[in-house]
Amino acid sequence: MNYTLHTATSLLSCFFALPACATGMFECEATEKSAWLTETQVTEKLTSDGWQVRRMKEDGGCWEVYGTTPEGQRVEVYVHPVSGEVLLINQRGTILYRKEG
Amino acid sequence: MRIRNILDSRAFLWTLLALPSVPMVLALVNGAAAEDGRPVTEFLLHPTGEFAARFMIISMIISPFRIMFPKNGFWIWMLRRRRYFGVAAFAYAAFHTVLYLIDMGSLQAVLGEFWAFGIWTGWLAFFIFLPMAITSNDASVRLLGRRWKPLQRTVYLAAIATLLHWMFVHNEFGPALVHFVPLALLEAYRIHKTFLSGSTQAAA
Repeated sequence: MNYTLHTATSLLSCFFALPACATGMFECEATEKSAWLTETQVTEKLTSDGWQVRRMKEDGGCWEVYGTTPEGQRVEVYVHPVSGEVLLINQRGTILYRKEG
Repeated sequence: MRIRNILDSRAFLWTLLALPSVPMVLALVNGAAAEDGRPVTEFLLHPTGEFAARFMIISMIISPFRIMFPKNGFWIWMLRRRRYFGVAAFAYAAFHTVLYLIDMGSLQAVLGEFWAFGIWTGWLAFFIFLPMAITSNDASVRLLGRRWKPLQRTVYLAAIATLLHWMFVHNEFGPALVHFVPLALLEAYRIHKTFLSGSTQAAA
């Protein structure tokens, strides 16, 4: 339900502000850039938990990681840039996991 | 008029439709990963899918433009060649699907994400494309007779599935909407013209 609402608001914001239409998929709390984990640190953390990391980019103040879950699902993962905690797992448009709160 | 003959030839149109695939095939043969580290099979997923959608959209906007400009020679020319654009859309979609299967690497991985929203919508579009492409030849048109048109009209469902597939697999709505909003507006115009203006003289 939340996702439907998100979709609707994203669609609207894309219509009215195309250039500002970031993915808007997920946003992390504001953090100091200097405190961010490096790509290597994020990769190491996820890999040690059984994930495979293909690549990552910044999105919505998070690390957005493209990779594979320990179960072998191809996903996009939003990771907290400072703590490295997995906040959202999106498998090709279906939300597998979203951290509450 | 020699140039006119060339422009009107099938070979010219096929060449034009195949042109976007040249850099794609070269990249695939070269096999090098993209700058951001993506393997070439993953990198090519986007352009192949995008050209499939573009040629589908081109084949779909011909009728609305025919209604808008009934005497315009270009759209009459396009209408006669509409099947070519549809077949091209299918060819790029097939290329796209093959790349996806290679990129995923195993049947288990493919089936494992089949029901993800951004994936089954793509498969739906592909399997709607398939019978349309197979019947896009003169023999099928004759054979199917009055049933040919309803079969080709399933493209509207494929268009909706393609839009959803693009938006959700990419987790980004802007680029998909840039392509589909013009189509939606033209279809709205067409519906308005066909059903509300009292004129039943719809082209196509």
